[in-house]
Amino acid sequence: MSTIFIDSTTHYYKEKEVLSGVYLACNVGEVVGLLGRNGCGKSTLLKAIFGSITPHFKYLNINGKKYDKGYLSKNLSYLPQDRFIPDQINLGEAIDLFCHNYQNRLKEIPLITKHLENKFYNLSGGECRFIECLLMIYSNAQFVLLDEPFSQLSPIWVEELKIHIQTLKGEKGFIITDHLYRSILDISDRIVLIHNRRNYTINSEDDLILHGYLPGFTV
Amino acid sequence: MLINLLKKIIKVYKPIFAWNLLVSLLIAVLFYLKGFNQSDTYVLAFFIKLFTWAFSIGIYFMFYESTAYFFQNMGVSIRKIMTYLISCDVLIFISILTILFYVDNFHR
Repeated sequence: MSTIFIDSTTHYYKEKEVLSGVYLACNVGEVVGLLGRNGCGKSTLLKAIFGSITPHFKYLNINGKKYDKGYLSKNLSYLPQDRFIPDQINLGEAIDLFCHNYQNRLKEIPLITKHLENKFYNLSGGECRFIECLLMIYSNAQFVLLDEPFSQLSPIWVEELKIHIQTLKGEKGFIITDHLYRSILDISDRIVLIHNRRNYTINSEDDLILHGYLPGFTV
Repeated sequence: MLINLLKKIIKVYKPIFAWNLLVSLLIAVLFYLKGFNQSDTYVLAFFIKLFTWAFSIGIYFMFYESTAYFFQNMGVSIRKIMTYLISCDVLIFISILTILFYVDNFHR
């Protein structure tokens, strides 16, 4: 089975340890939701998998092969928190670059058809975010990392994105983090919480309360 | 594939590429004025190019760092992009100097 996993991830920012021996795995056909408080290291973990930062220690394996940087596998897409497609590139070019295998399906989406010839600076912030999310979801890569895909999006687009993720779930593995935890709980097959520098498997919402992610814990 | 990637790199980093090209042309003028037989011109040209590349890397980190994810999502590292940009610039620079050398020799 096609799998990506990262093990023993340890990372420091100056003296502060943000991740300590963290393990995360995702199979094709699975959506893994990554939750955690602000600053707990969720984005750092995604960047460590993708390879845009080098943690102090990690073991990254994609489909049975070890990688230092996940993106070098050419089988991993990453949606960062900020805009990443340069203004000089138009949507049609971006689709050719990232979504060659799924371009026909992507071009059936009305917003994509409407802006196919437009450059990214002609789009509003929300449109740009939505389209970048779609580009990564429909990318050629087998594994997709989405860092706060629902931020800046109106509820109707959040719901639409969830449908697209569910549609492609059979062919890809998704690791998603966002603070709209209800949406994450809705679409995820498994939930992992990053707390106190470590990973915890979450089986119910009560576990999120127990670990201090949701309010309501009383002794 | 490589040509396509080079086109994208030049498209995204057009100002950096144009700045390096301008410096190459200015160095070519220097060679034209001082001639090709003075060793100090070569040393000066080398250090000007070195400074320009260092400055370009500085510009990249100041204004273009967010574009790293664009290329990494294509499976290309920033180190590779810098290597391609500098190699392309060196090739153009050598071509300009070679053409100028033959034009200069033809006139003298």
